[in-house]
Amino acid sequence: MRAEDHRLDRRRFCTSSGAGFGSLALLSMLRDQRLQGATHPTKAKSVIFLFMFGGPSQVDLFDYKPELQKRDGQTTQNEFRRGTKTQAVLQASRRTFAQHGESGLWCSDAFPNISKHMDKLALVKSLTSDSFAHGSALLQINCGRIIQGHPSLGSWITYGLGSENQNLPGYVVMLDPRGGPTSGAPNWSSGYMPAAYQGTLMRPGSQPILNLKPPSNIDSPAQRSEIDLLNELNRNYAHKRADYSELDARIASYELAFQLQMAAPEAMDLSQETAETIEMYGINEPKPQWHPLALGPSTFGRQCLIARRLVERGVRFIQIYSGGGNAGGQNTWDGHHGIEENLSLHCPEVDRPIAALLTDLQQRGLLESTLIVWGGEFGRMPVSETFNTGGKPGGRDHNPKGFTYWLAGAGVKGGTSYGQTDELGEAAVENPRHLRDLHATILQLMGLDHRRLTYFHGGLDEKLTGVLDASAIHEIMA
Amino acid sequence: MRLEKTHCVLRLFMTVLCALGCSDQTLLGQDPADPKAIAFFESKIRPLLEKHCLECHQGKDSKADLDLSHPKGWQAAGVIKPGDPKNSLLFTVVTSQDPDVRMPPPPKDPLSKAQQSSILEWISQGAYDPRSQVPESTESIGPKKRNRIFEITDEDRAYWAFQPLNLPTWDSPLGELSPSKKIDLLVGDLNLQTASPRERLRRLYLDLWGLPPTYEQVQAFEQDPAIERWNEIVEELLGSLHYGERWGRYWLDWVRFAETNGYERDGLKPHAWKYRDYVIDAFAKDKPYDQFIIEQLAGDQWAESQGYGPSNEPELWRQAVIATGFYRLHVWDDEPDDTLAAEFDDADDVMVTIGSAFLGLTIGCARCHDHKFDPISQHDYYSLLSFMRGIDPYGLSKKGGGGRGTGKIQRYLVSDQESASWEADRQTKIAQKQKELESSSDPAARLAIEGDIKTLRDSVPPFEAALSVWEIGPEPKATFVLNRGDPNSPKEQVHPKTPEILPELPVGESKSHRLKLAQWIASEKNPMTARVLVNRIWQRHFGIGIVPSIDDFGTTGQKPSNLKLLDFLANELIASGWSIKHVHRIILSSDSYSKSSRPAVSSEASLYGQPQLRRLDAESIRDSILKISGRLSNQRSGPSIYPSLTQEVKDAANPVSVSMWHESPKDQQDCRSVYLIVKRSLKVPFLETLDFANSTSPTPVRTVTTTAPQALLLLNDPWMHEQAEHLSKRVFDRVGMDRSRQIEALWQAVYQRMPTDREMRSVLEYVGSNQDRFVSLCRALLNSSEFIYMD
Repeated sequence: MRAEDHRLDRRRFCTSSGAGFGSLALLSMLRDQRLQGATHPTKAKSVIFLFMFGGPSQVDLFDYKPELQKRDGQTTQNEFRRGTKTQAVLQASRRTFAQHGESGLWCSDAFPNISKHMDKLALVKSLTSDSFAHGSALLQINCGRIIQGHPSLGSWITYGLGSENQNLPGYVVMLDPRGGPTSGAPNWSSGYMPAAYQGTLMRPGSQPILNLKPPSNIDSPAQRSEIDLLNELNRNYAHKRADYSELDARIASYELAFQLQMAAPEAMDLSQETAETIEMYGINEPKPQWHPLALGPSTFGRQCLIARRLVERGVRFIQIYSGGGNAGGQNTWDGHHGIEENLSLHCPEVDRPIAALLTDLQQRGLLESTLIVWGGEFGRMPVSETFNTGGKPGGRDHNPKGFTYWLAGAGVKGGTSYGQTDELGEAAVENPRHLRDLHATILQLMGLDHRRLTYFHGGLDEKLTGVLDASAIHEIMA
Repeated sequence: MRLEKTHCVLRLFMTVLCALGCSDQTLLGQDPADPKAIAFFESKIRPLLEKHCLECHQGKDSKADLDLSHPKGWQAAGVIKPGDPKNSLLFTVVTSQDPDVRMPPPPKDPLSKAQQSSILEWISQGAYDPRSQVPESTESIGPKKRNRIFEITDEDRAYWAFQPLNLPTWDSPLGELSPSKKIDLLVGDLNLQTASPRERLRRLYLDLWGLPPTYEQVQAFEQDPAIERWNEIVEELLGSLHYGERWGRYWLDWVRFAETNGYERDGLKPHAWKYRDYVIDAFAKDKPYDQFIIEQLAGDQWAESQGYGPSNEPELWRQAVIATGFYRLHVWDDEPDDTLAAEFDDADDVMVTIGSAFLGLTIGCARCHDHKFDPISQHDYYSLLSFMRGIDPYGLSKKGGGGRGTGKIQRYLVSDQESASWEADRQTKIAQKQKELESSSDPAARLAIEGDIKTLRDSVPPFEAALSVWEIGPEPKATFVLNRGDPNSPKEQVHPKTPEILPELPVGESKSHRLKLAQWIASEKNPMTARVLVNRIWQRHFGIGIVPSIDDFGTTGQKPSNLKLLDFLANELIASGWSIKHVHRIILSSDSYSKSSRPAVSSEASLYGQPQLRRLDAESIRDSILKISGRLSNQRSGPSIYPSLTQEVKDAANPVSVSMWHESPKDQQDCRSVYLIVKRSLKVPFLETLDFANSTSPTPVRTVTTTAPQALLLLNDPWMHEQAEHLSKRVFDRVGMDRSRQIEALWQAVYQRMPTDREMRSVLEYVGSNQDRFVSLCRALLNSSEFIYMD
């Protein structure tokens, strides 16, 4: 049954939907359609997607390449944009790699804290995607296509599973304070789905959601009275129009909005957390002085802790961006201008918070119901990019031909490494998997079948994974 | 017949081979960890299978029960004997010379020698196949899937939407009735009450203008609700630019209008606002719809065919050129991974939009394969595309670095001579300066001359420009059917031809391909065009279309609830000379339009015939608030307005988007919403929260959602607070300080009625003597369903 089949059925659904963020009315309308997608039994309830915007460098973090280390400084042919090659110089990682945990997975010293959790992680080192450019690559990882206008992963998951907390948005996005990512809102857009499925931006502090509170001259009791008056007007209007249930949904939406003024700041309120927890996430760490762009772990730590609190409150999908503002500078993971400087800026910002999040979720028994996803829009090249560093070695360019993601938590087989890049870490050669396979994996871990989770649009049952065949990476599932 | 025979042969072979038990697991593959085997499979075999085999041999209804999409499939069928290509049926059939045996079967081309040897090598090396997943079959739902081999059947030809208009016949004296009365007869008696004069007038104003009437206008109509008066009001509203602003915006939704390219830099499309003004003007002046189509699809070629240009009918020519901005509205990636693929993605975007907006067909579904449900072949898709292959693509004539330059997407609205002469003059001046530079040795003078040269090079011609199409030259590019939509796998060449299922219409002597296409779409013989438009008009007036799936008249859409009515209206449109206003008039003067939205009719099949209770769209909410608060500005055309953004919104946006947001002067910001910038990476938050069009793909109908963020916006947004203040001041100015009179005036302004006694009592108690409470009351009314909804 498709959404279109309901277009005539006003009493169930006309052209309107919902009351809260997750839109109960819409969800019941779409139930049959969604149920097609929900086929895998799973404990997974929430996703936290840790997004390293700019493209983190796999050969400096998880994808250890002894051959690259040996051949530092040698000249090679490098395809730096699709079909365009140049002479380039191999650049070994300046990081020290070691094997960790029982699994013996490799991780560099860039992540001294995350490396303690390698037995929880499943690394996919052989991902490929279709674009060398930030804009389209971001759209592809977030929305499945390099073309703008499609619903994002969070939209698909909230569409498929709904939200467990009607007082909070089901799909939350938290940005880096240095700015929003390339292309902006299309990255968390609901595309051709109703707007109820788009990501809601939440920021730390007392005003986490746009327009959450009235201007300062209106206090909460005053607004309560205003809403009571409004409810009375709206009830009188709805009373005479009983056939139109969206009028009742509208009354409910004002109640939810009012409750949200409490619920959202409460979810963000870290004063309820213990000093140990705050310390663990690095929230009180001062801003480092060595670099004007450095933030230290405080910001991302706060967002990770908020993410845990949102998970506890039933929020379905949370995406946190590390790196923000224009791509191309050291304000993101886009390390053209010196990879060492870039790693020194961004790794400490996320390392302690992510390790704390894994520990915290596990201690609270939430890790088995929470899927953590870590990665960026692509990886980076094993060669040095000199044109952006004034001829000095140091930078690395974009690389969609072979890059690393890791997953942890719900249904993930920890301590696994899947797939390989070539001996230099440039292109996936063993078990190469397209990004759509990662999407299929994430959906499957959430109990959804990527082939059956469809939305009818433009004459087609659209899927996140598109029309080309995709398959979940079973090798990393528990 | 030949195909059937082939498959019989295949079946026989397979039975024999399976009996031999050839799918021995132990023979399978090399060491899976061998990266060479993986690389070989991924680079040579997987693409080959996907391109040449899977179209027929995939999934549960695979031809000959052979599923080549996963190893278990070919193992079960036994067509490959790993290590032994000579005894593998797969190798036998792909190398066979016999057309009855050979795979892929004729008319498809056989595999190349290189591909055949890849298969040989693959099987010899053990047929390593890493595709571990058996695809699960998806249950087919919805309309019937077509056969794999494209053929137009009698059933297709009999499909309702492809039939010529079938006009209802009227027994005398019914034939003498007015078109409005005929509409009522066709809708039938749904046993509905007539709406009150106030509800009717509010509906009419919001419908045609997106703005409510005044209380005085409602009062006057209540005193004289005769049909003559009603018709006068209809004329008055249709005669206003407000009508163009309202209905032009609908068109902008249907063609996914936006003023920026999207993606990383989200660059501004130069002069896109002129297309917006063109559309508003076309509706306001009731440009015949066929002409409106022709101008958008081929305005340049039409003007040329009429002999119009800068010196003959310059305004007609100017409008026609601006209209072709239609082709430039799509999203455009200035840094595509694959330039050729991006060119076809952009072309597809235009094809999808033409299909949706003009024809009500999901043409885009036939880009990679024949349409799975409708009788539109892939051949039809590329034939249709070839009409447009003369257009210089958006991003192929690159200037500037990084692949970011656009092609020729603008045109100066002067004669070619004038623009050439300006250019020649510039080149002469540059040459002169170059000479000066060569002969000068003084560093300061050289610097100055270099500066002059740069200024000359950067200078923009002093002519009006428009976003428009350009032809690449006298001949369009050759167009080929692309195998699975892949621009690197062209198959047979195609030539401009309209889809086989639709009537091939005689189209003038024009040599211009786009003009031919436009004339074909705009022809009264095209069974889709008029039906699609009148259905949209009906949908906006009543809330539900006669065909509820207004962008899909194919088999994946819905059937018309009342085909006779649809055809009657379509014929009225054509017979009136494609006058959209004529269709409005006959609908608006019908009794059907005057019916109450409640109680709802019991039959779902009749819902289209009852005006629905509807929430106002984002623009109508904002514009109505501005009208009521007395702030609506008179900005009626020109470059788009950038409203102020709150710091919160700026912080969350990408800095590139914020840097391009040039906030307009405060006094211009209170314009009608259709004049606000439509920036793809940063939509005006007020409109976006209230379900604005997605502006990237055609939005036939906006889905209305009811969410908590909307409530927060209308309660707390600083702009809403300003409007409530303005409204309360306006009321005070009007009636002074008497509280009861203030409340009456407020009710009149917002609801165009007097408050009931009960409302008055309760509100008097709420406000008391507190001025802040009165502002709060204003805000509550602007939030209330009675204001936000239309009966």
